[in-house]
Amino acid sequence: MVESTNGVELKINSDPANLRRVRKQIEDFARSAGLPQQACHYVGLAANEALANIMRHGYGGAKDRPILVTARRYDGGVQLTIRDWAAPFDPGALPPGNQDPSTPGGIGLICIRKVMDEVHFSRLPDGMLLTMVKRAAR
Amino acid sequence: MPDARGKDDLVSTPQIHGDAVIAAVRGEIDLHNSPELRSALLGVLGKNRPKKLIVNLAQVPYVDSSAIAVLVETLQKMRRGGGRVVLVAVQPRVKGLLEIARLDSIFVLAASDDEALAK
Repeated sequence: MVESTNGVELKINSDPANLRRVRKQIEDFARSAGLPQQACHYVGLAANEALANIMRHGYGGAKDRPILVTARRYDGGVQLTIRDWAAPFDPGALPPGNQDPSTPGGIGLICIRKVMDEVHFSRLPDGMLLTMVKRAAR
Repeated sequence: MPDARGKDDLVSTPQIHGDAVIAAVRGEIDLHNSPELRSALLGVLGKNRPKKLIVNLAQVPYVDSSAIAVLVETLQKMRRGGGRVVLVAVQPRVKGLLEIARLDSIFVLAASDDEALAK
Protein backbone atom coordinates (compact mmCIF):
# COMPACT_ATOMS: atom_id res chain seq x y z
CA MET A 1 0.00 0.00 0.00
CA VAL A 2 1.20 3.47 -0.86
CA GLU A 3 -0.20 6.18 1.37
CA SER A 4 0.12 9.94 1.50
CA THR A 5 -1.90 12.69 3.07
CA ASN A 6 -3.76 13.14 -0.17
CA GLY A 7 -4.36 9.56 -1.16
CA VAL A 8 -4.03 5.85 -0.92
CA GLU A 9 -3.04 3.37 -3.58
CA LEU A 10 -3.68 -0.34 -3.09
CA LYS A 11 -2.52 -3.04 -5.48
CA ILE A 12 -4.30 -6.28 -4.66
CA ASN A 13 -5.16 -9.53 -6.30
CA SER A 14 -8.71 -10.66 -6.86
CA ASP A 15 -8.95 -12.82 -3.75
CA PRO A 16 -12.10 -12.03 -1.73
CA ALA A 17 -9.98 -12.49 1.40
CA ASN A 18 -8.64 -8.99 0.62
CA LEU A 19 -12.04 -7.33 0.80
CA ARG A 20 -12.22 -6.58 4.50
CA ARG A 21 -8.74 -5.11 4.71
CA VAL A 22 -9.30 -2.87 1.68
CA ARG A 23 -12.69 -1.73 2.92
CA LYS A 24 -11.28 -0.73 6.30
CA GLN A 25 -8.34 1.09 4.74
CA ILE A 26 -10.66 3.02 2.45
CA GLU A 27 -12.93 3.87 5.37
CA ASP A 28 -9.93 5.04 7.40
CA PHE A 29 -8.82 7.27 4.54
CA ALA A 30 -12.31 8.72 4.14
CA ARG A 31 -12.30 9.48 7.86
CA SER A 32 -8.92 11.21 7.58
CA ALA A 33 -10.31 13.22 4.68
CA GLY A 34 -12.97 14.59 7.01
CA LEU A 35 -16.03 12.70 5.83
CA PRO A 36 -18.63 12.01 8.54
CA GLN A 37 -18.99 8.47 9.87
CA GLN A 38 -21.95 7.47 7.72
CA ALA A 39 -20.25 8.73 4.54
CA CYS A 40 -17.10 6.78 5.44
CA HIS A 41 -19.21 3.67 5.81
CA TYR A 42 -20.81 4.29 2.42
CA VAL A 43 -17.43 4.77 0.75
CA GLY A 44 -16.21 1.48 2.21
CA LEU A 45 -19.41 -0.25 1.18
CA ALA A 46 -19.15 1.03 -2.39
CA ALA A 47 -15.52 -0.06 -2.63
CA ASN A 48 -16.42 -3.52 -1.32
CA GLU A 49 -19.32 -3.95 -3.73
CA ALA A 50 -17.33 -2.77 -6.72
CA LEU A 51 -14.42 -5.06 -5.89
CA ALA A 52 -16.74 -8.02 -5.31
CA ASN A 53 -18.32 -7.46 -8.72
CA ILE A 54 -14.90 -7.45 -10.38
CA MET A 55 -13.85 -10.58 -8.53
CA ARG A 56 -17.03 -12.49 -9.33
CA HIS A 57 -18.06 -11.22 -12.72
CA GLY A 58 -15.01 -9.57 -14.22
CA TYR A 59 -12.48 -12.20 -13.25
CA GLY A 60 -14.95 -15.10 -12.96
CA GLY A 61 -13.78 -16.06 -9.48
CA ALA A 62 -10.05 -16.20 -10.27
CA LYS A 63 -8.10 -15.12 -7.20
CA ASP A 64 -4.81 -14.12 -8.78
CA ARG A 65 -5.82 -11.28 -11.05
CA PRO A 66 -4.75 -7.65 -10.47
CA ILE A 67 -6.91 -4.85 -9.18
CA LEU A 68 -5.72 -1.30 -8.43
CA VAL A 69 -7.66 0.79 -5.93
CA THR A 70 -6.96 4.45 -5.32
CA ALA A 71 -8.57 6.95 -2.99
CA ARG A 72 -7.84 10.65 -2.92
CA ARG A 73 -9.27 13.83 -1.52
CA TYR A 74 -11.53 15.42 -4.08
CA ASP A 75 -13.97 18.32 -4.07
CA GLY A 76 -14.39 18.30 -0.30
CA GLY A 77 -14.84 14.56 -0.22
CA VAL A 78 -13.25 11.43 -1.57
CA GLN A 79 -12.75 10.05 -5.06
CA LEU A 80 -12.25 6.31 -5.48
CA THR A 81 -10.96 4.64 -8.61
CA ILE A 82 -10.94 0.90 -9.18
CA ARG A 83 -9.03 -0.39 -12.18
CA ASP A 84 -9.23 -3.95 -13.42
CA TRP A 85 -7.80 -5.85 -16.33
CA ALA A 86 -10.83 -8.06 -16.97
CA ALA A 87 -12.61 -8.19 -20.31
CA PRO A 88 -13.95 -4.70 -20.97
CA PHE A 89 -17.69 -4.28 -21.33
CA ASP A 90 -20.12 -1.65 -22.47
CA PRO A 91 -21.22 0.34 -19.40
CA GLY A 92 -24.56 0.85 -21.08
CA ALA A 93 -25.18 -2.88 -20.77
CA LEU A 94 -25.20 -2.76 -16.97
CA PRO A 95 -28.57 -3.51 -15.32
CA PRO A 96 -30.76 -0.47 -14.65
CA GLY A 97 -31.02 0.91 -11.17
CA ASN A 98 -34.64 -0.12 -10.73
CA GLN A 99 -33.98 -3.85 -11.01
CA ASP A 100 -35.99 -5.99 -8.59
CA PRO A 101 -33.54 -6.42 -5.71
CA SER A 102 -34.96 -9.79 -4.72
CA THR A 103 -33.72 -11.33 -7.97
CA PRO A 104 -30.20 -12.69 -7.87
CA GLY A 105 -27.40 -10.32 -8.82
CA GLY A 106 -27.37 -6.56 -9.18
CA ILE A 107 -27.75 -5.64 -5.52
CA GLY A 108 -24.15 -4.48 -5.39
CA LEU A 109 -24.57 -2.06 -8.26
CA ILE A 110 -27.82 -0.73 -6.82
CA CYS A 111 -25.99 -0.02 -3.57
CA ILE A 112 -23.07 1.71 -5.28
CA ARG A 113 -25.37 4.01 -7.21
CA LYS A 114 -27.40 4.85 -4.13
CA VAL A 115 -24.60 5.66 -1.71
CA MET A 116 -22.11 7.45 -3.96
CA ASP A 117 -22.65 10.90 -5.45
CA GLU A 118 -20.96 10.08 -8.75
CA VAL A 119 -20.42 6.69 -10.41
CA HIS A 120 -18.71 6.41 -13.78
CA PHE A 121 -17.55 3.34 -15.68
CA SER A 122 -14.88 3.85 -18.33
CA ARG A 123 -14.11 1.17 -20.87
CA LEU A 124 -10.38 0.81 -21.54
CA PRO A 125 -8.62 -1.27 -24.19
CA ASP A 126 -7.47 -3.78 -21.58
CA GLY A 127 -10.05 -3.50 -18.79
CA MET A 128 -12.35 -1.15 -16.92
CA LEU A 129 -11.96 1.90 -14.72
CA LEU A 130 -14.64 2.70 -12.17
CA THR A 131 -14.57 6.19 -10.69
CA MET A 132 -16.76 7.09 -7.71
CA VAL A 133 -17.08 10.27 -5.67
CA LYS A 134 -18.55 10.83 -2.23
CA ARG A 135 -18.82 14.40 -1.02
CA ALA A 136 -19.35 15.68 2.46
CA ALA A 137 -22.95 16.79 2.89
CA ARG A 138 -23.44 20.45 2.17
CA MET B 1 -1.72 -10.27 3.68
CA PRO B 2 -5.16 -11.79 3.01
CA ASP B 3 -7.52 -12.06 5.94
CA ALA B 4 -7.34 -15.51 7.58
CA ARG B 5 -10.66 -15.75 9.36
CA GLY B 6 -11.71 -19.14 10.77
CA LYS B 7 -14.59 -20.76 9.00
CA ASP B 8 -15.88 -22.86 11.87
CA ASP B 9 -17.43 -20.11 13.99
CA LEU B 10 -19.59 -18.41 11.41
CA VAL B 11 -22.88 -20.08 12.40
CA SER B 12 -23.54 -21.56 15.81
CA THR B 13 -24.94 -25.01 16.45
CA PRO B 14 -28.66 -24.56 15.75
CA GLN B 15 -31.08 -24.51 18.68
CA ILE B 16 -34.31 -26.35 18.08
CA HIS B 17 -37.57 -25.05 19.57
CA GLY B 18 -40.41 -27.21 18.31
CA ASP B 19 -40.73 -26.49 14.61
CA ALA B 20 -38.49 -23.42 14.87
CA VAL B 21 -34.72 -23.37 14.65
CA ILE B 22 -32.45 -20.59 15.87
CA ALA B 23 -29.10 -20.09 14.16
CA ALA B 24 -26.75 -17.40 15.44
CA VAL B 25 -24.31 -15.88 12.98
CA ARG B 26 -21.08 -14.26 14.12
CA GLY B 27 -18.64 -11.91 12.42
CA GLU B 28 -18.45 -9.68 9.38
CA ILE B 29 -19.81 -11.35 6.26
CA ASP B 30 -18.60 -10.50 2.77
CA LEU B 31 -17.85 -12.36 -0.44
CA HIS B 32 -14.96 -14.12 1.30
CA ASN B 33 -17.16 -16.03 3.73
CA SER B 34 -20.73 -15.64 2.41
CA PRO B 35 -20.40 -19.04 0.65
CA GLU B 36 -19.83 -20.60 4.08
CA LEU B 37 -22.87 -18.74 5.43
CA ARG B 38 -24.94 -20.10 2.54
CA SER B 39 -23.71 -23.62 3.09
CA ALA B 40 -24.40 -23.41 6.82
CA LEU B 41 -27.93 -21.98 6.52
CA LEU B 42 -28.94 -24.37 3.75
CA GLY B 43 -27.53 -27.17 5.87
CA VAL B 44 -29.75 -26.11 8.76
CA LEU B 45 -32.78 -26.16 6.46
CA GLY B 46 -31.89 -29.54 5.01
CA LYS B 47 -31.19 -31.21 8.32
CA ASN B 48 -33.92 -29.70 10.48
CA ARG B 49 -36.65 -28.72 7.98
CA PRO B 50 -38.00 -26.01 10.29
CA LYS B 51 -41.24 -24.15 9.76
CA LYS B 52 -39.55 -21.05 11.12
CA LEU B 53 -35.87 -20.21 10.76
CA ILE B 54 -34.65 -17.58 13.20
CA VAL B 55 -31.34 -16.01 12.22
CA ASN B 56 -29.76 -14.10 15.07
CA LEU B 57 -27.52 -11.33 13.75
CA ALA B 58 -26.61 -9.65 17.03
CA GLN B 59 -22.93 -10.49 16.48
CA VAL B 60 -22.86 -9.41 12.84
CA PRO B 61 -21.71 -5.78 12.59
CA TYR B 62 -21.31 -5.75 8.80
CA VAL B 63 -22.52 -7.59 5.72
CA ASP B 64 -22.18 -6.95 2.04
CA SER B 65 -24.60 -7.71 -0.78
CA SER B 66 -23.41 -11.29 -1.15
CA ALA B 67 -24.53 -11.98 2.42
CA ILE B 68 -27.86 -10.27 1.74
CA ALA B 69 -28.27 -12.51 -1.31
CA VAL B 70 -27.75 -15.56 0.93
CA LEU B 71 -30.46 -14.35 3.30
CA VAL B 72 -32.80 -13.72 0.37
CA GLU B 73 -32.14 -17.17 -1.05
CA THR B 74 -32.78 -18.71 2.36
CA LEU B 75 -36.02 -16.77 2.67
CA GLN B 76 -37.18 -17.86 -0.77
CA LYS B 77 -36.44 -21.50 0.00
CA MET B 78 -38.35 -21.31 3.27
CA ARG B 79 -41.31 -19.61 1.61
CA ARG B 80 -41.50 -22.30 -1.07
CA GLY B 81 -41.92 -24.82 1.74
CA GLY B 82 -44.51 -22.71 3.52
CA GLY B 83 -42.03 -21.59 6.16
CA ARG B 84 -40.83 -18.23 7.47
CA VAL B 85 -37.59 -16.50 8.32
CA VAL B 86 -37.14 -14.02 11.16
CA LEU B 87 -34.00 -11.90 11.51
CA VAL B 88 -33.09 -11.07 15.09
CA ALA B 89 -31.14 -8.09 16.42
CA VAL B 90 -30.19 -6.70 13.04
CA GLN B 91 -27.33 -4.25 13.56
CA PRO B 92 -27.48 -0.69 12.16
CA ARG B 93 -25.12 -1.18 9.23
CA VAL B 94 -26.86 -4.40 8.23
CA LYS B 95 -30.28 -2.76 8.49
CA GLY B 96 -28.97 0.15 6.48
CA LEU B 97 -27.88 -2.14 3.67
CA LEU B 98 -31.25 -3.90 3.66
CA GLU B 99 -32.89 -0.49 3.29
CA ILE B 100 -30.51 0.61 0.54
CA ALA B 101 -31.23 -2.59 -1.35
CA ARG B 102 -34.99 -2.13 -0.73
CA LEU B 103 -35.15 -5.51 1.00
CA ASP B 104 -36.01 -4.32 4.49
CA SER B 105 -39.72 -4.93 3.98
CA ILE B 106 -39.41 -8.55 2.88
CA PHE B 107 -37.87 -9.77 6.12
CA VAL B 108 -39.62 -10.15 9.46
CA LEU B 109 -37.49 -8.55 12.16
CA ALA B 110 -37.37 -9.15 15.90
CA ALA B 111 -35.34 -7.70 18.73
CA SER B 112 -34.71 -11.03 20.46
CA ASP B 113 -34.93 -14.79 20.00
CA ASP B 114 -37.93 -14.91 22.36
CA GLU B 115 -39.76 -12.27 20.33
CA ALA B 116 -38.96 -14.15 17.13
CA LEU B 117 -40.27 -17.42 18.59
CA ALA B 118 -43.51 -15.69 19.55
CA LYS B 119 -44.08 -14.17 16.09
